[in-house]
Amino acid sequence: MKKLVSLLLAVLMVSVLLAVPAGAENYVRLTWVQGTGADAPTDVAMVNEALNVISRERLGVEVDIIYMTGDQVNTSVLAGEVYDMYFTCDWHNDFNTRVFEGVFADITDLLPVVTPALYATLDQEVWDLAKVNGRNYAIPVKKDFYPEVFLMFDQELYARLGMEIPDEMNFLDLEPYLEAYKAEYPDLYPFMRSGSAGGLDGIFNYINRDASIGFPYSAAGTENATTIISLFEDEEMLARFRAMHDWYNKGYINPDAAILDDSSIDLKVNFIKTGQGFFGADAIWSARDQYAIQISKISGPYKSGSGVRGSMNAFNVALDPERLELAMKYQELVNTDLEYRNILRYGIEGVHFIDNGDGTVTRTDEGRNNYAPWAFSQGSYSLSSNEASPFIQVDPNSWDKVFAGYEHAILAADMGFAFDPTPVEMEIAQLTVIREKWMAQIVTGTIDPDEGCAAAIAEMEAAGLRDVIAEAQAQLDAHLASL
Amino acid sequence: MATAKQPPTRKKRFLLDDLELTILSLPTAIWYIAFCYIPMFGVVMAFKNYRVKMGQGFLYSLFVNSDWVGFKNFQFLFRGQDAYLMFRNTLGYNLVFIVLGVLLPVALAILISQMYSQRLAKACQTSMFLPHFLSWVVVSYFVFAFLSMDKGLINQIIRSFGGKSVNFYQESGLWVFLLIFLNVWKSMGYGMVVYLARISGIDTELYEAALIDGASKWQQVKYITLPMLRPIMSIMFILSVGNIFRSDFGLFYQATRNAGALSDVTMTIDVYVFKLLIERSNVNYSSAAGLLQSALGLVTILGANLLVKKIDPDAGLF
Repeated sequence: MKKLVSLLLAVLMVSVLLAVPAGAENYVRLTWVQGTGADAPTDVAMVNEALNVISRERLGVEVDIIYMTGDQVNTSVLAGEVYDMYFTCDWHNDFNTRVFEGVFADITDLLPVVTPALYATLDQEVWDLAKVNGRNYAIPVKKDFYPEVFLMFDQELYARLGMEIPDEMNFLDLEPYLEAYKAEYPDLYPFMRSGSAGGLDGIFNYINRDASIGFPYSAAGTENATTIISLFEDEEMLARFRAMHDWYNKGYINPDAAILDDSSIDLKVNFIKTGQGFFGADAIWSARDQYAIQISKISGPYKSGSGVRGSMNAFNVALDPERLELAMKYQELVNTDLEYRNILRYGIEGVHFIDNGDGTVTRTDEGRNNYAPWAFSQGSYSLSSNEASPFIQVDPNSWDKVFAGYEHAILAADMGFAFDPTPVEMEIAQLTVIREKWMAQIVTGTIDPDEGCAAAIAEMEAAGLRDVIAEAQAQLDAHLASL
Repeated sequence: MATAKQPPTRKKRFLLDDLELTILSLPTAIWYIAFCYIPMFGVVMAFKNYRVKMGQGFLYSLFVNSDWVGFKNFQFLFRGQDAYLMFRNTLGYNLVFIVLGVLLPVALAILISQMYSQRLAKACQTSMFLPHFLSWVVVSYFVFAFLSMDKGLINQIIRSFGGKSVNFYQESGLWVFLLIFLNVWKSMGYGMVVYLARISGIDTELYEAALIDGASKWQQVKYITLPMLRPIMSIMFILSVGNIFRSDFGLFYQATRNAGALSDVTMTIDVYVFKLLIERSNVNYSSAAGLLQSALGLVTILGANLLVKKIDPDAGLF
């Protein structure tokens, strides 16, 4: 018996060894690191296979899409692991840092030559805003790249209460809606928050998020247009913080907000939410939260480098020229082929989603549970079909309206500036820890913002905030002078 | 000259017993070599400005691509207010933990060893040991269930007596005691088992002789049990002193839910380093901090050993 088992094991091992080279034919296998939250999609292998059928035929390549959280990708890059393509932005796999570390390939000159179709999908203005020191290191995702932040309301509830929800409103005017909700559901919190800003800082143009420095978009056109300050000393932000504190005291905000993370909040509850979005996002949010959501804009759109760099895909600098071209051609496929793009976003037709034939698709339960990766990070978001909603009418061409709305967007005065944090690394490291200490308490209204911000600024100044601002200001001024 | 007088020892030969023991220790040895000794060259990172060179791998990046910067990476530990806070907290809590970590388990071990009902003694021992196996993440949810402002047990009790809810996660003063309590609650059982094992190994004849001489329970403890426990107490003391610059990350980060308002009393060196590594991925600073902790730990452990040997020459660890 023992002999039989060991024989079987031996045969198994040998066959495994043989099987590995036998499976791979002569296709180049590219790797693409995508971002994810704590739960990566489970049906990745199945969807990757469906994607490879198309890419094999078009380009002779196969692609492994690997999902990593922010911490995972940071560690991977530091350890020198080589993947071909990366999702990058300013809050995940930080783009500026990576560029200054020399991790990403410079593709400025290759873009129009190797991938003309991809190059044509975006306006020159977008390519320019995505640049660092005048060079392109990544392909911006064609999406809502000029940030707009929205409030989400339960449509049915406010219709019943007879309260009108305007398309745009001032955040500070939210109070009557909170009050009405609280009267309706005394046991619930109308404005459930977690410790993250959740878009409330959408009026602030970060030069560096870790150090919380930048300038308000509203400064554009004034004499302070390019004066860098801390988020905690911006008057508009303070006004929002004060309102939050007031609402916190009135019981509109959950008292434990500052110590909750996003995943511990049940989004199926119909409280008022915030989020960065765009015209048409109400359909996505309704599908996610399973009730009809009506949205109202509280800020944006703002044209800025940080907006365009909010979601991009870049290439590893270590790739040899042939492989880099192939990877770029692959990205062209992702950004221009509707069928491929829809599989990437929704999964396999008939399993994960159903094509409605009118330019929209409907996710199945299986799709919702087993394959719902970040769609905004995968290349042209606006190319993929819109998700239909059982709750509201979805316009399949909503993106045209989004991009039309950008014509009058305010252009931030940083003009595509990218801050190199290396000279003040130590200071920024300490500012990061201090920000983390104060941000959640202040942004949830848990503490008095006037005291909190003053204390935060005092601690930050002790850690070198003014030096960091001076360094950033000098770099920004040099950048503006060079234009 | 002295060696000549010693009796002849057995010839050193590799016996079957030795083989068995070697094999038995092999997994642990391999584990330590692979995960503790081989990676140790990484301490050079503390003196480098690590810059990754894509496509050349980690070793090339570290040794060729990164510049030496001397002690610059250590500076961040000593800048600003946080430096004072994290050293104060780490040392302060550890001093309390070390004292309580010897006193309480010894007292409890003696009490339990004196229990008449063996069954009750075992039950007590097991229930005190249990928290040792809980992860701090799990504990953090228990703590939250007690302390949450709107749904927490304690606040519900306060409200039912007509009081006003307290936001415990904003009250840093309270957490000083709560953290000490949690640590004692979780580690007490483990230490107690060690001492209990020693107590049950004490020759009962000693107690019988003492009884005949008319010694009371207290006298038995004072003149027999405690002196017999002293070597173990000093070993446990020396070991814990070696970790005085380290802190239980789970306790200070997870159990407090990383609440910003508590950071003045929860910011220990490890928490600070974790925050840096997670947010900024700065491996240079993290390595520098780790190296410093280890070096200071070595100094304190040697110092404590010396001190213990001064008091009782036989009680030292080495």
